[in-house]
Amino acid sequence: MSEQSGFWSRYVFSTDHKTIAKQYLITGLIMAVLGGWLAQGMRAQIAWPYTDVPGFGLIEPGRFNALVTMHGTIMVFWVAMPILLGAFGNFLIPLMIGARDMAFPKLNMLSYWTFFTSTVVLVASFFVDAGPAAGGWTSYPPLSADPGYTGVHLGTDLWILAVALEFASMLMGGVNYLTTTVNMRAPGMRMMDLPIVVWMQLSAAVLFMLSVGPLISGAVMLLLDRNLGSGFFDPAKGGDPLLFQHLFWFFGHPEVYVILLPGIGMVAEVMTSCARKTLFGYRMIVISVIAAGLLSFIVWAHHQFVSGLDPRLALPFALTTILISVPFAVVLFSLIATLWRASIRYTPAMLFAVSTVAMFLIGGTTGIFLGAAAADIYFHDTYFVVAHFHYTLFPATILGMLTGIYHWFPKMFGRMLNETLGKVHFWLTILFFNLTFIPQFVLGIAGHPRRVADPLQYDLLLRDMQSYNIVSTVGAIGLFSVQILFIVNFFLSMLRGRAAEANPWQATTVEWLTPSPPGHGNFAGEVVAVRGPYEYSPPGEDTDWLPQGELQPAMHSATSR
Amino acid sequence: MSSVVPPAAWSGARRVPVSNAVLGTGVYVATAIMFFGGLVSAYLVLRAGSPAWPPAGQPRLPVAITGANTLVLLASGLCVWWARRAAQLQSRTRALHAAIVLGFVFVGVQGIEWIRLVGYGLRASGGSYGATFYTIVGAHAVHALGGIAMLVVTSRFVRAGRGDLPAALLYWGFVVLLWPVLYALVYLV
Ligand SMILES: [Cu+2]
Repeated sequence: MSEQSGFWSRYVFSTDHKTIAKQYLITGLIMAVLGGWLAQGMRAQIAWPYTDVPGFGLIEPGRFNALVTMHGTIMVFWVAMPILLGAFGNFLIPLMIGARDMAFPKLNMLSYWTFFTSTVVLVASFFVDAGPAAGGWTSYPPLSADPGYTGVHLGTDLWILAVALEFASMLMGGVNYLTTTVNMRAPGMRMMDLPIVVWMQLSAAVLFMLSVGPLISGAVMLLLDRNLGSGFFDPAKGGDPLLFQHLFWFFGHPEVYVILLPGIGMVAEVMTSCARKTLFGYRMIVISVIAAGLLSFIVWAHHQFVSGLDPRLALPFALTTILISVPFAVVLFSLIATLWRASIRYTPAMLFAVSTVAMFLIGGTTGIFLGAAAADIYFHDTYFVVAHFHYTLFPATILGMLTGIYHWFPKMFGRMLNETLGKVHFWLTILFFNLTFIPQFVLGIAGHPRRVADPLQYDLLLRDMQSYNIVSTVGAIGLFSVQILFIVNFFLSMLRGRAAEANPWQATTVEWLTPSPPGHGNFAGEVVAVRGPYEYSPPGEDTDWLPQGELQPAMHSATSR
Repeated sequence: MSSVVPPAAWSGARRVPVSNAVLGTGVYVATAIMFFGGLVSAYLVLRAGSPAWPPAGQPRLPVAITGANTLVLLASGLCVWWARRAAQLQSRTRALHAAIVLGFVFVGVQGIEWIRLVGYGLRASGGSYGATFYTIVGAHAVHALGGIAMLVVTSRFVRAGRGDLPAALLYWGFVVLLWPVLYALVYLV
């Protein structure tokens, strides 16, 4: 066992999926603090234009653009992806299917360290001459292709390099998730016996792998445009800037589901175990997610209704966009039906799970306004869009991630989080989140454009509405500050929380069969799945839950391979 | 947190229809197909928006030499297919070595043609004709070099009695079969 001893191989260059998951989690959380901090500067500038901001100083429009760009980039690619896929995909998939590790442990380690490198490159871009990328997280040319627009040179190249490395890392992860789920399930566990979060991780991995290729090709062309003058996106050389938008959003819309599905999956796991009821409509959820996944490849142009898209294309893309809300409605109503007539245990994880659905419903419903091409012409590029996507992405990623952390923290670290602190953190987070973004809906309807550094320069009506901006900023400051409660809870509990038993929530899935935290190799024996994943409150039984799997004695001899 | 069961005893109790290596490679190939899909659609869009193709004053592409080179690559693919079917270890490694040599010939000839085209004045910075050509052909060459590396590693593993020939065949098959499509699009049509 020499390979397992030693600090470096155990905690740093580890091939154990649980350690890699924690590395992803910690890196992602640090980046979340950075991403949230950037939003503070942005919001302060909008509420009180051109006043010195503590910690930022004076924010002129160029820097404001960089803050917007890096906030979006970090939150999507360095928080949502590493935490929801990197951390929870790695942690949950092998444990929940009864496997001992991922299919390719070394590739898994390489995946994390590639991600780590991408993080270093991205953070370094803050310190180069002229600062980090400022062309928006979508990096549309010519903003991104021609330094003349943003004044940023090296920062944009580093941005592209960092995103490319991040994609490479997630690609390695995706190869692992898919191969592991398909090939390494415990005996007796069929695909339709998979815990729903594993289905969600699998779908997310497939969606990512199938959509990222065109964006990588777009990024290659952008890099060549910037450094060789190839002019793919430059009309003067026969190029077409709209081409990049197509390549970006062909990826961009599925990407929304890549970071949505794992969170929804964790919400479903928490709901079914805290409601002590089997998950309603398991099969319909799986079918809906597959249907939504397929549809997500033919909706992308709804981001381009005002970009000079052929008007004849607007109607079909509006139709597919409205259509895609049907499978998601099925998923959300299945979750709500799971709670119907249940005796619910409101743990902090459950509070976050329920609020994820509630908040996401607001995000989903407001999306219909933007998916309809005619309405979008008015709403496009206003704060209505900003509020809308924060009402989808914040629940799905941040609330979903918190759901997961509060639920699986005992399994990850072997200790319980403080429940009271968790509940206070929950209520303050929800309060400040709504305080931040409800005013933005109102501002957007009034016509407040997004991505402007100084709203007061538009005299017509926004001057009278500046109080909404101030409320929103106060909400953002509160939202950022109350996360201290979570960070304190996280680290204090990790060090001195109450020791966790193997199955503190009396949950059915296989990961709760093994001690918290599980040792290297995960299970003391061979896991065999003996029933479905959600046997809660089975009729005619004394207990209110039956575990999905059983542990059988391990086959120790080398010949058993 | 000591080891519950030593890794050597972790049993692969499941019988699986496709090995991990083939499955993982297949997933990557699917991603790569989408990547080339992005490049090719960009090519088609830019070409459709261009008044003349090739634009006036731009050199023609070497259709004949590249056609012959296409046959070299196809032969290399056949060799790997052969290696997969061969029963004896020796004929396996021999077929793999032939495939590697043919693969190098293909990439080498492509490289020489590149240099000649640069000499004739075809530039990546001179508009979408040159830019798309170098990007598509270059991206394929990168994937071909990766494939050759995979064949080299596999041939070593095969000699040691391990190694996953089906996975190598899957990836190299992708590289080999993608090329005629790109050749037809970029050189012929
Ligand atoms: Cu979209």
